[in-house]
Amino acid sequence: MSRIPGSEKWSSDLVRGRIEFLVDCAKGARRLSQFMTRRRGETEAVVEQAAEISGAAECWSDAAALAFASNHTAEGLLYLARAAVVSDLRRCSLPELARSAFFGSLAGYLNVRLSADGIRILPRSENRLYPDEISRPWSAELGTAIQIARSLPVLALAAAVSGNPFEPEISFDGKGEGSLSRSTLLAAFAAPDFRALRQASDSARAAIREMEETWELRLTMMREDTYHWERARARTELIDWRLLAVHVALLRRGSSGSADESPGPATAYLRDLAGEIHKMPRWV
Amino acid sequence: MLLQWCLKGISEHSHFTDAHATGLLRKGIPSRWLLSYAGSNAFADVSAAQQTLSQAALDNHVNNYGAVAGNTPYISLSAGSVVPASHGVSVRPAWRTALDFATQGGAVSGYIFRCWVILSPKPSAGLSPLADEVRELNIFRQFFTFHDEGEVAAKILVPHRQIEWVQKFDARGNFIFQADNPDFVDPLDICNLIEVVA
Repeated sequence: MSRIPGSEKWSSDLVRGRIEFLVDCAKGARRLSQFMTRRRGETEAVVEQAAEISGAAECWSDAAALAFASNHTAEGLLYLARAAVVSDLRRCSLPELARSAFFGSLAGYLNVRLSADGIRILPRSENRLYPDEISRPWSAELGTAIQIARSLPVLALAAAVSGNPFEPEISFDGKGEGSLSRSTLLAAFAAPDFRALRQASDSARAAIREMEETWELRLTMMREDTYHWERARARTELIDWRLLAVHVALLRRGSSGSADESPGPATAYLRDLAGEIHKMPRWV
Repeated sequence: MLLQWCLKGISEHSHFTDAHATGLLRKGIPSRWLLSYAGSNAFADVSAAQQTLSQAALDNHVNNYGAVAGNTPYISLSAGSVVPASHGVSVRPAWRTALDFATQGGAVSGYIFRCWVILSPKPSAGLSPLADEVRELNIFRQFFTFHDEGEVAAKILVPHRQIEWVQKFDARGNFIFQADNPDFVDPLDICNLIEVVA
């Protein structure tokens, strides 16, 4: 049980007010974005036809980050689950799918599996939005090879957080439709979180150390921005979601990664948070 | 030059009420400098206001607002931004920033103005008719700290004919009313798509 380093002066009223604002924005994102882009004289009925929701997932994930940072882990997981279902998983774009899979797996709300055929997502059993497993095959419709290579580390991380193999059993035949090319996979393998999840090795430990050092520096810079920090706001994501996900995935695999080293305060906090999330009951 | 839609959030308080908010549809959105120093001599005021515009003044407005809050000649507007995120990129819509400022983070009710400005594709801190795209890091690298707010900095006064409407929201983001500006000039009327001579 811990708070993010540097948050000691945040009052509970400040944190609660900020979370409520973000939740209000998330819930009202469609309405608010439509209201504020409508033209003079447009009626509400016309505006309602617009379907795009801009910024809702970010409001949910920012609310989750602040809940985690203020030691309200269970509440944060609920917000992450909401962030995961902002987009329609059956037809959303690949970046949106990757975001949903990532937050949903971290929340224990979605079980993500990568296979030779594509991405399979199993929502929680009593989910009314998605009663059946969702399958999104690797195809040109899902995205180009470059787009898939960019999203693959996040998707693989989501699969690992779900407790599934992080290196997908994907064919290397490179024949295009229905498979991934070797170059696509190799491009994705270069990401540090991909390396971090490899079985215990010097390369994996170095990748985790690199991510942790970046996180230490990032939190220091956020705290030095006193205007935002004193208002419980961060210029960027308050939590390093990818590093958190790496630690949760390692714990679910029964490994502690680089936990034998003495971590900095930011890293120690994130490892504690990962431990808490790991112990929380999962829905799937 | 580019034409850019922007939002401006102002919170409600005893000195800024519904009447003041709708009054800006006739007067324009003033900078702090204009509110503090403007007198009765319009020519002298405009000239003096322009003298306050500089790269250093813009830098203070963005990076050291607390020091110049009472007399800055710049007006912060939000046009939204896209920032790097764990899963790729993250959208910070203009409406969220404007609502954050208007409601002081969900604490009070406030007003949001929709207006357009003329953006320069190069730094133009000293030219009052043009707004500076502070959110554009390719141009304004020194403003990275506040990149996520998607700021566009207008100068001295956002003319009232460039304000389309004002909307009021309560602290929870519930819509209360909208007042349209009858004098509004649509930016499409001056964009660079020219109709044939018919």
